[in-house]
Amino acid sequence: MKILGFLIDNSVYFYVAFMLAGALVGYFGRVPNFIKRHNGRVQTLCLILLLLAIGIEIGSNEEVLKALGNLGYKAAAVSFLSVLGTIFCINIFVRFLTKDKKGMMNH
Amino acid sequence: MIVIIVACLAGGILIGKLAVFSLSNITNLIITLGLFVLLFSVGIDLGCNKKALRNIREDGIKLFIVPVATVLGTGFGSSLASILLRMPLNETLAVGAGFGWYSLSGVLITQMHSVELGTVAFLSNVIREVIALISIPLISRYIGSFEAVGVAGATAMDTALPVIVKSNSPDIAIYSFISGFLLTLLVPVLVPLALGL
Repeated sequence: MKILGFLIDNSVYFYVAFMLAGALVGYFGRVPNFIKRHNGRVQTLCLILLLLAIGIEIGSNEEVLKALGNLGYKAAAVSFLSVLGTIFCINIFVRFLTKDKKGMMNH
Repeated sequence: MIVIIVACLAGGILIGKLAVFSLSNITNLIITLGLFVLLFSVGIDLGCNKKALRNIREDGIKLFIVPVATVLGTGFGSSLASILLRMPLNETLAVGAGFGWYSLSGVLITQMHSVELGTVAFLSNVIREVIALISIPLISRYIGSFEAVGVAGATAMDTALPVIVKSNSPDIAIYSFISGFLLTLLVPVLVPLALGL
């Protein structure tokens, strides 16, 4: 249990480490075919568990439940403005750094 | 996918609301271990894709324009949101820095900051993915292919990839994958960095 506590307290470093470890295994190691084939399923399963756990955290937090409407509107504002900012920035970058104004991939 | 997301979240919220004793130790453990497995698995996918990794070397700087501009543009938009919503800048920046990867950014911020901001991050990144999936065909047509890839953020390498490829010529795929790949790598780095500001 002590090890788990250590892992949880320092989880950010371990997140990066685990992804890098996976990438190294995928790149240099021989990944058996059955793992490659089921990798997508593993990810979906993890996602389901994570979403359930997040749901439980939200559900047991009365204050968040009360604020959900208010939180949703904040969330939508951040994503909408981020998307607009991204389009704007890429447009400027592509205009100045490449010769093709519309993006070379357009047909 | 959307059905699974909504069902799991709703189910979890119901369990959490009805639970008579605190489950937070268990959920904390599930989240940490679940993310370890998820990230390791995503890492294997990235490492196995040798063609994408080789292209990074060959095509050089051009491949970095989209992810770099996406980071800057998202930061710019999030800063604007901080002013409009009167929220602290580090909070909106951290929420935006999920680039659509809702599972990681929501969990990360819940753990490092608060359940409340984690919920905002989760919702915001789900919304970003939904906006991306719906708008990519339109953006590709009327604005440009690179903009479509950027809007998808980290999802440009998985969920949004088929939509991007369908709406543009097929050679966009490598740009899309690499942009999503780099942004995915940046999420666990930029979110804590933004929160710490």
